[in-house]
Amino acid sequence: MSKYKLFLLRHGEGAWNKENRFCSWVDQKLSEDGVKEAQDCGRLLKEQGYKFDLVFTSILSRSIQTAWLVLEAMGQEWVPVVKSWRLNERHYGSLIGLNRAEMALQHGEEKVKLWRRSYDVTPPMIDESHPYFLEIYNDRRYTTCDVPKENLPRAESLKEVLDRLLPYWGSTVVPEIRKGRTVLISAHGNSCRALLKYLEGISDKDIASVTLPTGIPVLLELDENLKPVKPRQLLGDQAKIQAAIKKVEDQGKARPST
Amino acid sequence: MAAYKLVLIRHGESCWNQENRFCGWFDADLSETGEHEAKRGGQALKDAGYEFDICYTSVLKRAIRTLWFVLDSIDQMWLPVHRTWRLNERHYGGLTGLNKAETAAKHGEAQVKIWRRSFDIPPPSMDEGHDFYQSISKDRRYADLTEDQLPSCESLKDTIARALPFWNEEIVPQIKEGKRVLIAAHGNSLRGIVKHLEGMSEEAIMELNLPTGIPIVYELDKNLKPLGPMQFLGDEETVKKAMEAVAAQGKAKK
Repeated sequence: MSKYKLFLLRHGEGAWNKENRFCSWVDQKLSEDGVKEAQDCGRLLKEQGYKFDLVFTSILSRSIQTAWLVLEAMGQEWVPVVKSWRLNERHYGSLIGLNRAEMALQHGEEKVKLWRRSYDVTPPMIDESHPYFLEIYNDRRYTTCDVPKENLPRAESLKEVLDRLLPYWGSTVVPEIRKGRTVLISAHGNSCRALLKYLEGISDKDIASVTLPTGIPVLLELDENLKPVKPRQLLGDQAKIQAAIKKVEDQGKARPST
Repeated sequence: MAAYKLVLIRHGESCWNQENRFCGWFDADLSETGEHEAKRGGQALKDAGYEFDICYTSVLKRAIRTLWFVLDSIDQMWLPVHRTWRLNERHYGGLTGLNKAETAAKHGEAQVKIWRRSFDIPPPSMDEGHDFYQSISKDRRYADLTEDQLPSCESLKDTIARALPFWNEEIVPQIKEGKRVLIAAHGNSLRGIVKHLEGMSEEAIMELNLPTGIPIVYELDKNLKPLGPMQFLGDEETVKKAMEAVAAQGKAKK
């Protein structure tokens, strides 16, 4: 019997998603298409009559922008939005900024898939020589986190994402859900996947094949123990959802499939 | 020497401003002009290199969206934002939704001026039969307000009386902790803060028209007393024009 509703949303296309580059902790805003994805998502949620009480986002602009666009489309701009680095996209270490297709050609589709989709393989760490190091670590937002800047990750596996996300889930999100608040988590592909793995009890092996499409709201109906009572629902037009899933899967390949 | 800097921004033109209707707690959206004003305000803050640590706004979209445009312009979308009904625009009660020119023709310019511009005379209440009673008084966003807190109309005095506790209890401690604060709100809630900061008389605050979409900067000493008059960010022409435009409202059409 479903007691609570939780919504997860992976933000839409950013400028780098378009170029097939690992964006990760680089702070990109949404592309024009990404803006449209967020607006469509908001319209869908409005049509289906959903009412949010609280929204959680990462501290990366694209997830915040997505949340704003969704709330705007729903006429719920007044809903509180709480931001945390613990919902940030997975830190891809030295792979940040690299084009996925080039990586696939250089290292092979399988290795790229391993880095993207394995549970506990950490990519090589980012260091000061990396072109985006300063852009990330000199950013003031990382002085406002609940850990000192020097303790923030330099690379993460999906497991390490969950390790830093779970305490926040437990201390900050769960109490709100238990108050009966309808929560939207507007975040990223991997922070959403990590949370899904935990909530649905997906194995380390099976999580590799779980793909979240962009801009498609994911509804989880939870019992009083916050266990899902049914499979996750991707809301909206099913053809659109399948196309969105395929789009994300194609990004891992060296050449887009026909 | 300024211990603190505070930035206020009054939202730009709403769709109802455009139609010259008393807006108050009706959740009107920004017009295209209002969006442009917000972006321009954001640009002025960006050009001047402003950084903030925390933001406050009302629960009305015209203020929230103004803040969002500003945060986008200055690339600080990640800042914590606190929304509160206490920073809402003054509640215009039974006048909500009425066209200002028609109201002036019906009640006379003098009565309209009194309602809009007096300190402690409230407009007529918004009762259950009012067109906007359900959509405003019963809106989910006000579900946590007590009967005493939820207004059916407000004088400027009433608006200030419910805004200042938030200023004193929530905003002031943050300023004293050294947090750089940005407040995006409405003409009358911001008048409340300005009146308090500057120790203005009731007559003086009634004469003050805060410009829209233009960042207002206060430099404050350690006791939160302004070191000088408010400063506007933006070009002189824009500032002058905006103040004149607000003063022209409320007059009946000939």
